[in-house]
Order: sequence, then C-alpha cells, then structure tokens
Amino acid sequence: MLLSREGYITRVAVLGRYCYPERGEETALTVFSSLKCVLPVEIIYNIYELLPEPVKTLWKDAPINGISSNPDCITIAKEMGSYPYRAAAEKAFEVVFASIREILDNDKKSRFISLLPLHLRESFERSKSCILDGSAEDFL
Amino acid sequence: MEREIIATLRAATAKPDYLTTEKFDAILGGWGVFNLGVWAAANVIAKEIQKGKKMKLEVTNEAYTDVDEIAKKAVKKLMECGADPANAALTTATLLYWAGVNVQCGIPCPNRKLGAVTRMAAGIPSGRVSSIPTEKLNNKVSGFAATLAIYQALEKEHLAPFDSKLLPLGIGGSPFVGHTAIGEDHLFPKLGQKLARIGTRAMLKAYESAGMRACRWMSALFGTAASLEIIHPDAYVGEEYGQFLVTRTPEVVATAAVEEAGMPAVIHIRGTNEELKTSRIVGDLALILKDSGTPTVVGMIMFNEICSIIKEGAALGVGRAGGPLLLPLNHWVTSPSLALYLLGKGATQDEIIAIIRETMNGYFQKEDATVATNILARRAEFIERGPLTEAIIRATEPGMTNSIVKRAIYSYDQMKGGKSLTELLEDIQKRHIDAIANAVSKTMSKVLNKDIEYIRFKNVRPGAGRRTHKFAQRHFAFDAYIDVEVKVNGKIYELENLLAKVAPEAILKGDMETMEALSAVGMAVTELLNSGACSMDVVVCACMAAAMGMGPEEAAEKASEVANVIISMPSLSLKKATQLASDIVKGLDF
Repeated sequence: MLLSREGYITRVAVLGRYCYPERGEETALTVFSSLKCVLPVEIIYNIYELLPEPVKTLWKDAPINGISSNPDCITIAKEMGSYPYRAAAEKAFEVVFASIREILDNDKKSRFISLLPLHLRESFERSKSCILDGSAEDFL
Repeated sequence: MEREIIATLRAATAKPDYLTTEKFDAILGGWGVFNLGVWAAANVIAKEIQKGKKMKLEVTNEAYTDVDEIAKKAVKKLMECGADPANAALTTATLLYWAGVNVQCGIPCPNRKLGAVTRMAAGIPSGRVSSIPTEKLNNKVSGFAATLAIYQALEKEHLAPFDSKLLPLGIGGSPFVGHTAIGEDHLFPKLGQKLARIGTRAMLKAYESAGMRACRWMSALFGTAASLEIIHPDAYVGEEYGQFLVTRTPEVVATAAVEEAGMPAVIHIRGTNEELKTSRIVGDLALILKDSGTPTVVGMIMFNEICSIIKEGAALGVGRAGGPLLLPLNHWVTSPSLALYLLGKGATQDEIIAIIRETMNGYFQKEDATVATNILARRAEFIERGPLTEAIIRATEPGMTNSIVKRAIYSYDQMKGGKSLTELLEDIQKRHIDAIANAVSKTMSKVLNKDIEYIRFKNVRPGAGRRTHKFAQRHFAFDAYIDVEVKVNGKIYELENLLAKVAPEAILKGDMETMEALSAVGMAVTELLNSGACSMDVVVCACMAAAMGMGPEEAAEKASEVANVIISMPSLSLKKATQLASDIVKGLDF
C-alpha cells in the first residue's frame, strides 16, 4: 500500500483518535526520536532500510537529541512529547506501532520487532488494539 | 513549636467538617446532593480497575460482563449514600465512561449500552429525554424543550432526505436501510443532524426565556439525546462522516449540536490538557443520558460536576465546582472524577497526585480549594477508602498543612503582640476579601479581554436592608450589602449596594454600561457569597483564641460575629473546633 506522507500522518491521527492531523506527525516524530536516542547506529540504519516510504523519510527526519543514558524510550518520549503521564507516552508508541503494523508484511513485521528494544516488543503486540475498536475485534 | 499552635493545628484539622460551614452528614442522606457518594463510587470503580477487571463493553456471548458487576457495586454504594436509583445509574455510567468504558457496542444481540447497563444495575425503568431536567442554574428547564421542538418540526415539515412512501414494502427495520447507503450515508446522519440542531436551538431558547444564561453544554447534550431517541443510535455511518467501526451516529449527530450551540470543536482535560473531540464526548454522554433512566435535578448536577474534568467547563457550563469559583462543597467531585480518569488511562499514583495538585491553580483561591478538596477526600474515606482518596489526600495534605500552620503562626504572633480576636479577624477578613478581588480582576481581565485594573470592595457586610429579619441582618449570605469600585478599561464604576439595588436595576432596565462593570465584579461577589465553603481563616483564629485562654464558646461566637462575611452563614462546627483547641492545650504537658 503506497501512502503519501500526509496520508500516513492522517492515518496515525485516526489510529490515535487525535483531534488534529498534525498530532499524528508530532507523535510519529516523538516516538522515532526517542527510539533513535537509545538504539545503536547500525540498528537505526537497519530500521531505515526496512521501512517503506513515507515512514522511511519520517524516520530519517526524526532528530536525535543526543545519546540518552536512559535506556527507557518511554521515559524519553514522555519528556520529549510533554505527555502528562507515562501511560500516555506508552499509548503514543502503540499508535505508531499500529501504523507500522499496517504497512509491513509479516516477514518485515517480525524483523522490525526483533530490532526493537526488549521493553517495547510487548507494546508492538498491544498495538493491534489501536487498529480496530473493541466490537470489531469480536466480529472478526 | 508553641503549644497553642500545635493545639490549633490539631483542633482545626481534627475532623473534616471543622474547616467548613457545610453539613457533611446531611449529604449522606441525599438531601439536595450526594457528592460524597460519587467520591465513594469512584473509589469502588478504581479498586475494580486495580483488580484487573475488564473496563470494556464487548460483543461477547455471555449474559453479564465485568462492567455489569462493577456497575452494580457502584450503584449500590451511591444508593447507600442517598442517591435516587436513577441518579445512581446516571452517575455510575458517567464515572465508568470517564474511567475508560466505551458507551456502546454491538449488534442486535448483544447490544450493550453503558447507560442501559447501569440503569439495569439500579433496577429501574427506562426514561425519556423529555422527562430529564437540566441541572439547576437557579432555575432549570428540561429535555421537553428539545423533544417538543423536534416533534413540532416533524409534524410541520418532512425531515427525512427522501420520500418515505417510496421505501419498498416489507423492508422496515431491515438491513436494506440500516446497513446500507440509504441509512448510513443518508437517513441517519442527515435526519439526525437536522433533529439535533432543532433540539439544541430549542434548549438554548428555553434557557434564556426562563431567565438563565443559555448553557451550551446541556443544550447540545439534550439536542443530541432527543435526536438519538428518534434515529438509529448504534448505526455506523458513511465514510464522509467518519471511519467505519469507529464513528457511529451519536458522534455525527452531536457534531451538528455542538456547532449549533457554538461550542469549540476540541475541548481539553483539566490538568493534563489532553485534547478531546467535543462531538465525540457530547455524542457519548448524550447516549448515556438517553439510556440511564430519569434522573432528578440533583442527579443532573452530579452528572455535570463529574464532567467538570473538562477544562473549558466554566465557560461552556460543564459543572461549576472545577474552578475558578469556590462553590459550596456539596458540588465538588472534580478531583475524584479526574483521578479516576487518570487511573483508567494508566497513570501512576505519583502522576495522579501531581496532576490533581496542578488543578488547584485553576481556582481564584488556591489555598482554600486545596483545603476544601482535602476535607472532602478525608470525609469520603469514612465511606469508602480507596486509591483515589488516598492520592487526593496526598496531593492536598501538604498544601493544607502549610495553609493552616501559616495562619496559626500569624494569629499566634498577632495575639501575642496584643491584638484581640476582633482586631485579628477584622484584619484577616479584609485581607481575604482583597485577595479575592485581586485574583478575580486578574483572571477576568483575560476572560473578558478587558483591562480590569482593580476591584475594590469598600463596604461588605450583612444586612443590605432588603430584608428586615434579624437572621438576614446577621448572616451575609442571606442579604449581602456590598459597595464596590471597579476600574474597567480606564473607567471607574462606583456600585453602591450592588446586590440589593444596582444589579437588579441594571438587569431589569438592560443598562449595558453598568452590566459591563457587573461582568467584571460578578465572580468576585459570588466568591464572597460562597465564602463559608472553606472557613479556614475563621476557624484557625477562633481556635487560637481558645488555645490562648479565651472561653471556647466566646471565641466561636465572637469569630462568627466579626468574620460575618467570610463565614457567611451559621457554623455548627466552629464551636466544636474551639472546644477541642481548648481541651488539647490543657492536655499538653510539655
């Protein structure tokens, strides 16, 4: 599925139930930046190679605000995104992971998960629930 | 620390009731209010969340779910605290909603709706929107205005987007309409939005016609709810209205109501600034209103106050106790409601504490609001202990202790230096009144986008002369005399005997110039009239006088007589607090 950057950002906003589309871009950049703060350079490159456009460019654009001594991406994202509580930052990861889930095939999905820090792999699993509301889960 | 200060601190805070003129025990009978029941029910729900119960309505093939069980527990707790069954159902549904439960799910069976779940938990029959009153804004109206206007419109014109006679024979109620473009793209959204606009307009008009400033929030809710009584309230809609499996008719219908009521498209959560789509919230809550029975005015007050976690509440009419005014404490449920919302979102106790503490900045009188929240949480703990009251007490205890000790030290120093209780309280009352004036002038300058340079209360006392009864002459809340000077955009207004003379004359004559001045001072005057909600200033001074040797009864009576504005109405607990201060100081053996 080919998406424009705007289309992808809108999709993130839909998955996160955000009120404004630009929150989709903010969320994606915050999540990517915080990931890049803790991942080794070669993993950052591997993820870049794995992602299709337009997410690839967003990944590249996400700034690395220094190498963090804190290995916890969620704490970094909480501060970076001014989230009022940690669970809101966790939710941001789920939303972005849900969007990635939708654009990767199963093989690439598995490789993507293997590149994530261990503490985020569960979040990738939980991200399924962002894609569909509760009633739909039961229908399908 | 001086023995008198210790005795005063302990006596003033010994029981939650000592720092207010409110009658907390009467709340538990449900007489006029049941907010302590809401605090308790919020704790009940919070404990279920912590047990890992599933906070979701789902299309599962089972008769009852976790939500049914939690609803029964919360409804029971509310009814034990005096709530009428319909009020218990509505407030439980609203609390569960803010805790994260979805308002609807389903197909013909199971078709679960949160309002119906809590109504059935309360064992009561369903109601109609036309029978639901609004909350009281001095007067009140009801959903009858919306329903009446909608049915009049249905009678006078044809509102469906097609000629209904053309519908093929035998398809009534079938998926031919309900699950296709006819229903989802045309009939439900188009008719629903028309009806919602008509209902909302009728509500706005009814409010104004009955002498109230129109409540945009309630009008949009009732307009939406009345529309959902007619159109399919569970249908998905065409893609132009929203995403499949996400957007249903309530949100689409509410979009029109929100627009008609002039509400912003996005609202925020108090303390966190999280953004919420107004139409989604109004649609969800309207569905709850439609399904949860027939609440009374008291139930609607609580419904609104639970929703006062919405930051724009004061401007839109979503509850009144979330700030900036310090309302009578029987309205207050914002903190437990917000704490429950945060817990449902997964916030930790420390995060909840920080956010609750932040919300205290939203009041004109932060210290009084902190104390008020603390004593309500402590009183609620007598009914139902839980993670929410624990967090709220932790959030407010440092602020309360700081406020009481500061006042105790000041009153000790002043009285030690030779000031009488009368002189001390005259000084304290003046400072209290001035502080309100300053806070309101700053805030209202921003709200009204005007330069309110100052508000000066020149004479504030009981007995405006409108009533001759001695009781009214003695207690500020019943016949307040107020002379105030206010400077707005460079112009000075002198308002003498504001409540008995200036305000009624200006309103009845439509004197816009005076109304401009009244808009600037109105909140400050209201804050004065509600002063007894937190009587900390008076209680601390009176306790100190008793601890320093004045007879406890005399200290209480003298304090009530002198601080006749900031205590505003008779206080039963003041004498008990002064007696305790006297007892404690005599019992200290160091």
